Amino acid sequence: MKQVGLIFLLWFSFTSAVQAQLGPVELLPEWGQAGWSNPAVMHPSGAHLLLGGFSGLQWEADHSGPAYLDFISAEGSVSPMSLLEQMDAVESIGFRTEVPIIALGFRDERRFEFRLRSRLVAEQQFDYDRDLFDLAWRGNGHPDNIGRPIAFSDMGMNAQAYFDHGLSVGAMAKEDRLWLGWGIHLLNGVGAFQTGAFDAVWTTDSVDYSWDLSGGASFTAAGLDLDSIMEGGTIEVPGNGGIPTTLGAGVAFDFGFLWRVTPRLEMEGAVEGRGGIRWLESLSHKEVDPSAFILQGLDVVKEWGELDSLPQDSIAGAFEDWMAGMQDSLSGAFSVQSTPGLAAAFDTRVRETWRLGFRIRPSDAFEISATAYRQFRFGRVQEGGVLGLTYRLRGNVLLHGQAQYHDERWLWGGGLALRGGPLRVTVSARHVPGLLLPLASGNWQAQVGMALELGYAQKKPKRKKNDLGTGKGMWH
Amino acid sequence: MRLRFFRDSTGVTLGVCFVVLLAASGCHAPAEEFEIPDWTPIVAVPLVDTHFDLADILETLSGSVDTMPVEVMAGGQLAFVYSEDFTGTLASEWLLVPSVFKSAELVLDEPLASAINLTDPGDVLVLSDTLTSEMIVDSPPGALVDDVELAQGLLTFSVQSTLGEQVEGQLTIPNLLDPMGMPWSVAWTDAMLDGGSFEVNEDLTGWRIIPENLNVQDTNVVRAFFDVFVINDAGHTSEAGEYLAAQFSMEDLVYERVVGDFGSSQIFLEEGTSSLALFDDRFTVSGVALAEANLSLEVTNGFGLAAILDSVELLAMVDGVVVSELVHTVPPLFVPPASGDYLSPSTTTWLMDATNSNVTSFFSVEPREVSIAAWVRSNPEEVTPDNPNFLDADGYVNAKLRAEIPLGFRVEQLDFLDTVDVEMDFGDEATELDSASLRMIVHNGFPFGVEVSAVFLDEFGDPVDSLSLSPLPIFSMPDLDAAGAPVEPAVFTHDFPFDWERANRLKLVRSAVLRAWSSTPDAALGEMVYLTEDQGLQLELGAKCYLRIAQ
Repeated sequence: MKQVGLIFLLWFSFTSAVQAQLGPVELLPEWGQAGWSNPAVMHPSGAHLLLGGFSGLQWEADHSGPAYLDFISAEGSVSPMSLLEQMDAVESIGFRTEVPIIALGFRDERRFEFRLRSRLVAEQQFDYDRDLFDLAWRGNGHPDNIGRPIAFSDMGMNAQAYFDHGLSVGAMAKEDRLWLGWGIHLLNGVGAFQTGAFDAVWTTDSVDYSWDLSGGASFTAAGLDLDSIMEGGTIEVPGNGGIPTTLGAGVAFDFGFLWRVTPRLEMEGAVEGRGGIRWLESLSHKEVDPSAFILQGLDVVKEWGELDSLPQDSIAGAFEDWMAGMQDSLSGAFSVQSTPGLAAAFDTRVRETWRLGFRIRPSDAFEISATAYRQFRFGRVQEGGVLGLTYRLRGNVLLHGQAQYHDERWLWGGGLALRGGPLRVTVSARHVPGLLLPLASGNWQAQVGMALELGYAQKKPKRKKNDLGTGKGMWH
Repeated sequence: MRLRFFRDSTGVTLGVCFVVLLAASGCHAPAEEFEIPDWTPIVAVPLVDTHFDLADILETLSGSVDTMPVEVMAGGQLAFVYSEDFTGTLASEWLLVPSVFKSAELVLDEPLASAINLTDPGDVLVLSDTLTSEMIVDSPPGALVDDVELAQGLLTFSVQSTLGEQVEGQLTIPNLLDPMGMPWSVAWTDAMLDGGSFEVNEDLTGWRIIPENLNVQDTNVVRAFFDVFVINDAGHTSEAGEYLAAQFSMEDLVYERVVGDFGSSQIFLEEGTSSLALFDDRFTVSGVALAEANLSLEVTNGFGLAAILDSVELLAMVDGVVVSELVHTVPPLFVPPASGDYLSPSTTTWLMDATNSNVTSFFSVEPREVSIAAWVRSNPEEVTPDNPNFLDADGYVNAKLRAEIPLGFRVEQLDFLDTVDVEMDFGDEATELDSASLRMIVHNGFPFGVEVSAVFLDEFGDPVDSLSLSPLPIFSMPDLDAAGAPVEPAVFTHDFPFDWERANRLKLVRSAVLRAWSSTPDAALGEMVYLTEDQGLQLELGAKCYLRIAQ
């Protein structure tokens, strides 16, 4: 039991954070993907090419619930009640992986930029209810729980994997003042699992302690055989190790603007990933019809009345019969059923982010940014704000630090981009402490990338005597 | 605008500081060991939810006991029923056919002996006589029998002779008919008297006796005609004193059917005493009254005679002293005869209730001895020849007493006190179960209330625990409507705390003193309540288990 508890705690300690964040990848053009988050933002190089795994593998795991130190003291004293008190009604555990295939972009000065990108995205989110933990820790008989409908209605599992083939352009709309951009994503879905509806309520009567369980659910999948899974079969990965078959298709759009109010002040706003996938093939559907199960205790008179022998000799038998009947009734009330015939097509949304912010450059090297965002993912909405401080050293070194405020807590992130010649290496994390030792908060979000850049244009000041070399002879 | 603060030279320094700050914010080492509090969930679970009404109870009891003292009457009202089958009277006990015995003797005197001696040898001298016997029926006295069909009987005829002459003879009983309707007769020859006597037997099964009722004095007469043929033997001289004796008897007579006029006699139904007690000595009652009671006596008459029920004695006694005697205004019950044979008996019922008797006063909560005696009297009207009485061998007259006491009553106070042996075993202490609370909810649909207390005693009789500090109104008193029925069930809810300390105490329990108090609403004001089959009880049990699971 102790081991289980420790695993439970470690799980939380390493994943406790907030999700839905923006980081250097989305905010800074040097990472090569900001133009996909805001098509109006242009890459600093005239052309850039990102190939396969070098171009920026991203993986993130996040949990929206309390962090380690929210319910565990430095001395290791665990307070489950603190955990419950600091949980929202619904929390999520999510994973997202982006595996780049290729990305490239060409820029005509600051007037126009054309981008192409292909990537594989796999994301999953499990939403759970605080009441689930409350019920487990305090029990249904606790005064705060008894008599109260304990609802698990927002729980569910959603996952999808898809190829994203995108085209994006950014263009100057007003000379050195306004840039607009848009992008389109052609989405080829390879697998999905969706909780269409999940409604579960458990009420323990405060007077007679009877249980009232009610609810229903529906699950839909593409590329996964739910019948096989329910029968204990193996879960087959779409594609079986080869190139996955396209089971769904969709389109998503990006829009953005960048308004240079003054040479040192810019405002920007964007919508990224507005669209979804319609899953059409290899579908399966399972549902539990809305029903109710009421546990009221043993009807002694009825059970004894059905016995042939004397009651006192058959109490155990009556209880066993009653238990078996209750189990049959429960399984019968919430039996999982397959939809006859072909399952209907279903839609899923891809992650959609709205953002609005500004950048101030008090000097050529420093940039201060502030961005408010709202992000939609599998039906859940997250919002927050990011304050960023960026330092650029002659285009070769970029150091970024950010403070992100979400859900009444600050998260500290950062990134480092190093460019030497045509190669640029980027690393970033949206929550650096979370990577180092995620006790106070943190999720895991890491990105590493390498890009080939051409035509990096920058006005260089004349070299003064005793100045260090600035890359003369390098490919500028 | 270019701020001086953001000069490039300071940027690196700031950047380094920022990185350090970022890193420092994450430098919390996790504890090497965790201290996790015990897991103490509270699990509430329903255990029992059952409902039963009086109809269920009656159904259950009817399957487990031979006689169910409570029955459902019209309208669903329940009644306590006391029924008793009377002993009654069988025909074979009431009318006894007597045996018939008659004898005659022919003794030669001098003149008769001389007359025989003077006849020529070979001549026949005929001597005749008639033997008359009355079948005097003692039970019922004075019964006139016209026809007796015998199921069993034995006729014996014997002759003894000392006459030296050749003697032959014959005997005929015209009142005794064989199954073919022919009178019984017998003839004997001289050779049969070689030994001086002979005896003839006849099985009378299936025979009939048709007695003659000639007048008031000569009743149930059976006659036998007797002829003796004396043939003078030349070698013998008859002398006075020689004789010839003859007897006939019909014994062990068992009839199949008897027809006649059996007169006016009592036919026994029952005589005895019974104890009636609604409560035993564990109860103390006061202010208890029953709403009503009624009594019925159903008489079944398998005799072929009319009767009248005019003799019923009902006495209630306490310690041998009569405290109540039946007084009624019910007219005597005329009991018609069976129709044709005993298989078609007549059934009539005699009813008494509070309107025509004081029968309600016989039923009380106090134990009483009730004495009952009942007879019917035969032939209250004259029997006509066209419609005679008859009795079959299996005929009978009996009766069934049925007392119905509708369960309408009032109880000002009823106390119950008893001590019962109790042993409790809760098994070994489970570490996961810290304590528990058992909740009992009783929905009382009965029109009375009950309070209960229980004190648990150890082997020395010392109290170690109790059900609660004060009596529990387990059956809360419900509100009643104008008809004395509960408007809706009254609800009682109580939690019984339980922990292992208490469990250990209860393990010492060897007996429990149970006390209960019951009453009906407004009993002191004379308000009656009534029990119906749909009145019932819902019992709910639930448990709150306080678990403690060490981490």
